[in-house]
Amino acid sequence: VSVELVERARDGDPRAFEALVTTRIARLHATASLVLHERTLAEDAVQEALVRAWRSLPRLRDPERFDAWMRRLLVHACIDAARGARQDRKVHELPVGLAAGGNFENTIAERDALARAFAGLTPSHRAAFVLRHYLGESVQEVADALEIPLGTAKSRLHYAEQAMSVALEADARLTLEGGVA
Amino acid sequence: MTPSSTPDPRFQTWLAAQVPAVPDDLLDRSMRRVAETPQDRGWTVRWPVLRFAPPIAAAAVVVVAVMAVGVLLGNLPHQVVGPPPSQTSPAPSSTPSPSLYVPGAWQLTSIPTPPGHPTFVVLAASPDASVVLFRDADAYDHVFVARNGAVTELQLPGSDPGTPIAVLAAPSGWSAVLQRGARLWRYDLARGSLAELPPVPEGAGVQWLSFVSDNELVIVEALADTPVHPTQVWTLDLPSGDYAKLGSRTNVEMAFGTERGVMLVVDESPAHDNEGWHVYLADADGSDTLAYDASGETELAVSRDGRYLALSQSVAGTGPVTIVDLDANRTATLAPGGVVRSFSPDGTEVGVETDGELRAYRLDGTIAATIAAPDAAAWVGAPTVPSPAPSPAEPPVRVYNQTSVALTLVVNGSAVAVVPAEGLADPVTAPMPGRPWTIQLQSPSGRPLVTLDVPADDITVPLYGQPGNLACGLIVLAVGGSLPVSEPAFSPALGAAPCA
Repeated sequence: VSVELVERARDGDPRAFEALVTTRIARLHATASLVLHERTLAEDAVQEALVRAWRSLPRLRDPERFDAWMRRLLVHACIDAARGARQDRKVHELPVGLAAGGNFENTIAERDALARAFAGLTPSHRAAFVLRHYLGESVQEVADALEIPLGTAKSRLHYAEQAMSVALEADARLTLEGGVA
Repeated sequence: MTPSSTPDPRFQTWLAAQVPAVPDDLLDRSMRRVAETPQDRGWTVRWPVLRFAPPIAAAAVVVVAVMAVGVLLGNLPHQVVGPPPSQTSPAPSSTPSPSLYVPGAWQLTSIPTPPGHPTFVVLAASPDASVVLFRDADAYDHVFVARNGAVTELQLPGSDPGTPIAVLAAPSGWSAVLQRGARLWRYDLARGSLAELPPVPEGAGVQWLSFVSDNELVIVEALADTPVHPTQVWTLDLPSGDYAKLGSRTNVEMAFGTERGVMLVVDESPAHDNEGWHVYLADADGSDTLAYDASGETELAVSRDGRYLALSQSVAGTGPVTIVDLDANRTATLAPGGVVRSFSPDGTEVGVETDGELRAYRLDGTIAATIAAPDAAAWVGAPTVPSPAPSPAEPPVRVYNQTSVALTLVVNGSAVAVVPAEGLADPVTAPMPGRPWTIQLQSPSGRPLVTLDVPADDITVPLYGQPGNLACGLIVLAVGGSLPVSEPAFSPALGAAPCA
């Protein structure tokens, strides 16, 4: 974290804030996209999180914690968006395996099964899973970001991992039986 | 339930492949919105909602507003309940005093700045704001008490670092329940005492806590942490520590105490993702009666009498706020937008957060009051709180408490004020409902010590409450007259039961 940039942004410098955001927006957008599984909502959530961050920055005492704080704002913006948009949700399926830098080691069958399993998780379970397995956060950090007790974070992760593991194993069997490369 | 000890590279690979490209204009669009947004530079206190589960956001108990320094402070009524101001007013602080909306009075008052905590989240406050429970905005596992300007950490027994502590304020504001993991404590704000409560019988996760009254909690216990999870609903009698099972259901997310009984909010949406709720009245015979299908709404509040629901369309405040009259089976638009926070104590107004303001809407949709709320302010639901604003024509109520225990003044079933041990309320300045009144002075355990019925008619002679069999000291309750100055109106009974 650039402490100086955070401090300048905290003092009201929008250019400093933009500099902070520029280097983080891809990760924020990726996280929101994974949690929400819906493109428009994800973009809205990122914007909302950034607005909340800018507005509340003067209250961030420890600039070193900017990233953790930003993640927390993003996760809450995602969950708010998921809950608030159910009425007129327009589903835009995310592309599978099309992202730049994406890894194509997974088989098509695996991806389908995993996508189904992932889509079956609630936004809060997806958030826990993404924070843990995409951003590589510790379970405690997941709990902090979601503002849930550690035990709840563990159980959410366990549930999500179980669902995803079952999908992986099912596709591994398919691969063996069908010879899908 | 134990998650994997390290991030799984197979999942990481798959997740990375799902990420779409960042839209070229996302940064620009975001910065345009940022440019239109002022930073919050007012001295603010953030009022929390319990975040142990998304729906809990709708219903913690302290009703508050956060506002910049000085706004509206000059002409605010200031409810004085409890010890005299000279003993309880916080020491002057060199930093500004923000304001808080006190649930019992449905009014604003000021609170001191906790030294060393420039950004804090208020968890509970006594009605006169002389005692404030708060936590640092970034630390969920510590709770502090500001009392008379001094700040100390509230030490919960046992060490469990990193585990968040949830705090729920009682309707009167004079006590709070704290939860850490499976353990519960009751904190007496007036005395500063902490007592552990018996654990929930099944020992599973506490999903929801709500006060039915100062002496009773309703607790929703989740027996699994899966999208479809069995839940049990308990009531806990706080003085005795006795649990009573109200019933079992799948996916009970919230429970509110009302005069009609406990109302359960159940997630019956297809995906069980808190996006479609049914509201049930939990009948005493163990059955549930469907009161309302709230599918489509998110945040909700329930009036104390159980007649009205107020519902938001989204947590973002988009879409109209509706008011549902369960008796008339009628739904109307209350406000064009906003997030419902709570009903006023008398059920005649609804607190709605919208456009950076907290607005009190009357049930006909007109606005009764507006308070600036620059940021993450929240009115947090107060399903059971004291009585509405006083009528100037009401006769004065005076209490002389010579006992060693604090007494709760209860009017028509609602706690209105607390008179401290060896304290005087002459007169009681807390808002009172319209008459007739049934007034009780209750011991800390909820035992009525003095009862007095006050008719709606004009009072031509002073009325005095007849005390029960007291051994703890003199208690005088007077309505429409003065307190006796020379001779005690009543003498403590010899050999009687203790007050507490």
